Amino acid sequence: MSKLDEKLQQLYQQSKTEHPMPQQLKQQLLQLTSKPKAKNWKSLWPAMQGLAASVALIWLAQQLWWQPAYYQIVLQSDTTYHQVQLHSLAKNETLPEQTAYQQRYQQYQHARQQLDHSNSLVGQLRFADQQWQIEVCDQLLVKIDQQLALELQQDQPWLAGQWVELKTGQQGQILAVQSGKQPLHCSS
Amino acid sequence: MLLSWLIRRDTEPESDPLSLMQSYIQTDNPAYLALLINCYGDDLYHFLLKQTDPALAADLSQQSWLKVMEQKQQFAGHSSFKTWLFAIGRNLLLDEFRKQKRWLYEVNEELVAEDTSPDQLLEQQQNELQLQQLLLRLPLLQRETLLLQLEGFSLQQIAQITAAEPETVKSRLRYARQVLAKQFGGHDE
Repeated sequence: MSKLDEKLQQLYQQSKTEHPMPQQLKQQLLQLTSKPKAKNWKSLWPAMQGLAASVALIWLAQQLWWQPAYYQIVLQSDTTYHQVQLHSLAKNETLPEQTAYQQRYQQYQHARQQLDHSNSLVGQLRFADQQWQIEVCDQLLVKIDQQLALELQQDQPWLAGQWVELKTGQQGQILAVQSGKQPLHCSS
Repeated sequence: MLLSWLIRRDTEPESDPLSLMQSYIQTDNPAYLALLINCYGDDLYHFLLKQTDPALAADLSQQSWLKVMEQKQQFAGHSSFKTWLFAIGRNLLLDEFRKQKRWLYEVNEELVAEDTSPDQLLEQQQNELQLQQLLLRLPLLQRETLLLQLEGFSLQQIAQITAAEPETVKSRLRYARQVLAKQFGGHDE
């Protein structure tokens, strides 16, 4: 080793001794290392998948079991219309859950079968007395309760004054409310 | 007896830096990193301090260790832990210099001590020239190369840290020594 190397090395070691890392910085670093770190998202992925699956299952169960079980049509007397129907979804909490599920599934299957053979009426939508109604000329007024109206509007929201085609099943229950055209005339 | 041996093995700190780092990667146990900080914290800080001011050296030291924590999976073990650590610190320093436009290829006269008349210089030499003043006479790349050599890194390791060819490292060291030899009055024997 040359004299220059010796000198440099001596000065370098002296400098290192005189300038260690500040104690405060070392303490900060040591504290940082001991802090619990945020979980890596990758490691949380299986848990997130499990959570998503649970939420989906709960939602499905809610759809199947906690929805109202019965479709109800109440006929009302009215001086203006030939007939007034009040369509609603009625809860039946006395039924066991399994029965409610089976019934809802049967309703679904039944509705699918009936859709092709459904009756069709054209009427105008209106919103009165906090309730959606469909006026079919002066022959029929169909009142739809809030819960059923919400379900029927899942695909497309209704507009008051809109002409719609009312698809009804064999028992008269509403299967669907679709956009329709104004009829040329109302038969009296 | 077997149990006590197992317990002792489990709690005994690893002494080899490479093993310490590998254990840290595998277990995420901060105790291993704390040992590494105790081993190399002063070395890295001093390397940075010799090229900048104390506040920035402290800041860059902290950033370097944070990068070690964040990027520990990138440590492949192809180089020593210290080489990897210094490469991180060096890159952070260069980033800072680029930000501050302090990229020095030539001697920066502003950083050289102002009172450097021949008489005063001679006096300083006689009174043990401070390393900092000597180093400030070197361009950045020569300075860092020399510092790394004084820190004990081999040519190959310096080449890894500075992302340069070994021949380039040799060349930088040669020029650095020539400049310093003049300062010492031709004592490079």
